[in-house]
Amino acid sequence: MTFAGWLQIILVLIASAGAAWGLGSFMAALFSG
Amino acid sequence: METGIRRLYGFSTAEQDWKSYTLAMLAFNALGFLFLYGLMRLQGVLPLNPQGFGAVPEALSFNTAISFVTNTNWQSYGGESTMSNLVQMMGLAVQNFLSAATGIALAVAFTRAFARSGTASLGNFWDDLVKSALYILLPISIVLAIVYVAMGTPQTLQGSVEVTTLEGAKQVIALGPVASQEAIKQLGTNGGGFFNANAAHPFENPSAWSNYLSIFAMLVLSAAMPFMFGRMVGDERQGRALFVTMFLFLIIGTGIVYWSEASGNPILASLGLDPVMGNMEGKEVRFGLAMSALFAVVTTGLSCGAVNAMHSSLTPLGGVVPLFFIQLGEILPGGVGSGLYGILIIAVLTVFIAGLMVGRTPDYLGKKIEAKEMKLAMLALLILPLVILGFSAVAAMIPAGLSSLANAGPHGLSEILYAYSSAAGNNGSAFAGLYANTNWYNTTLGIAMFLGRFAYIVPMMAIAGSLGAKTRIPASKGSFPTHGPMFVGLLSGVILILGGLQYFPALALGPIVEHLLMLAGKTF
Repeated sequence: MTFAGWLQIILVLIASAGAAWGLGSFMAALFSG
Repeated sequence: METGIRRLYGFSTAEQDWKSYTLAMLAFNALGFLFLYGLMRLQGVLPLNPQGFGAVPEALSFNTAISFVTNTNWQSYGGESTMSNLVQMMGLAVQNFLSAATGIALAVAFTRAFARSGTASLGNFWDDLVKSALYILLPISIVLAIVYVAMGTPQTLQGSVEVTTLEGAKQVIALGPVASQEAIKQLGTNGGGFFNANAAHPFENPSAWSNYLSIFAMLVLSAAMPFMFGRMVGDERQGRALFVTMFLFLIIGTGIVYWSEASGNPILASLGLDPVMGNMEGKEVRFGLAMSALFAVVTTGLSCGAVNAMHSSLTPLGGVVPLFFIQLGEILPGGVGSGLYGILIIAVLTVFIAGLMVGRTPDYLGKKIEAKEMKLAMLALLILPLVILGFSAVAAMIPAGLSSLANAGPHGLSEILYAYSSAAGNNGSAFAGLYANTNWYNTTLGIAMFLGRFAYIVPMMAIAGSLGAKTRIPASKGSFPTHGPMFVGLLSGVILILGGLQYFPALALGPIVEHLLMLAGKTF
């Protein structure tokens, strides 16, 4: 295992989680309206 | 556009109770199955078939139609050598959208059961379906497809090109509308590849950057579902607790696979191979160990099933994580929509167990959990082990099941176990090594996919109907908090114990004993 490997893993997960947070808000508004 | 679709199909947007909602969903999926089955059987006489493929055989058409309608995308065939462009675009890619939209609609209906108080109505299936496809899946897929094209993924109606290699030999290279299918395949957690090698193929996943994009696309929609849930029930902390649970499993699972693959295979090291690279068998050098490990865990924690490395070539301990994640019911964070309603059923079970421990009537988000909901939850939860272990046990005993195996011993058992887990969990990834295009596997895996999807959904929607009709009671000092670390720990424990009790004996006979034999110098 390498630092670069873990960095890639963490960055991809953070990017996905950040986008998911925004998308979740949009979906809640879409289906609540 | 939404109004135009409503007028075209003439569906009502009136509120539906759980039975009407479920019946509409079942009817819609039944039509989708018949259409896709017919399209494959008539492939030989339909246009957009540059390679001149004939009709897809009956058992394979049955298996594939169920597979794509249930969002599984198990493929007992090689896409580039079996399906015409018309079937790929009008059949498989369309079902990728519709099965994902169905999942989102069901998750929204289940969420409304908690968000609403004292009402039997859970929304309207047709309305939720159209909104999911039109405002979420289509726009994001269009953007993703364009980015994939920019990264080198083909998007053409040309069937194939013949090229001359450096050695002077002739080679046929398959092409087609790959990028558009790749986008929805990842976003909708469908997973069915245009090519047989799936996301390990350089046209589906050309570079390290397209690999990052693929993992991102797989995760984003399923990970958005708990945030949507929190917003819709009016307490974002509830959604965050579910999200943290899902991602904890993802990170720990990735750590185990990455460590195991980086440790390599001691048998190869003893033969003189340099162990520094770890176990690179079945992996693409352009992705490396870390991104192959993350991809394997994400695609099985979700119900995606796309693969960028061959799971059969993972070390035994590296392989046990994807297998176990599928068996846990695809909830970490699970398929689009199905992950949310899956983990909510476990959350209901968790508060029930917590209620038993402290002697209170359990409630979740102000809805009392009673005997009816628990019976339905157990009905939903038990269908997966029944299908997975039942079919695996039979296949491990009869010639029709054993004759398809490429490996003997515990690895062979893992191949069978993985196939039925993947089918019933609606994942669709294959362990490789199992030849599944036989009447036995096409039929039984088709049944497993059907039961894993719809025999789970019906009791889940019955729970939604029951909970929606209950009045939401405000939280009091006696309420069990379901938004903090204690709930995350308890929920994680229930997921692990439930999965362990159901599957540990089978896993012990497969990958776990294979790991011990590998340490003793024996391989399969």
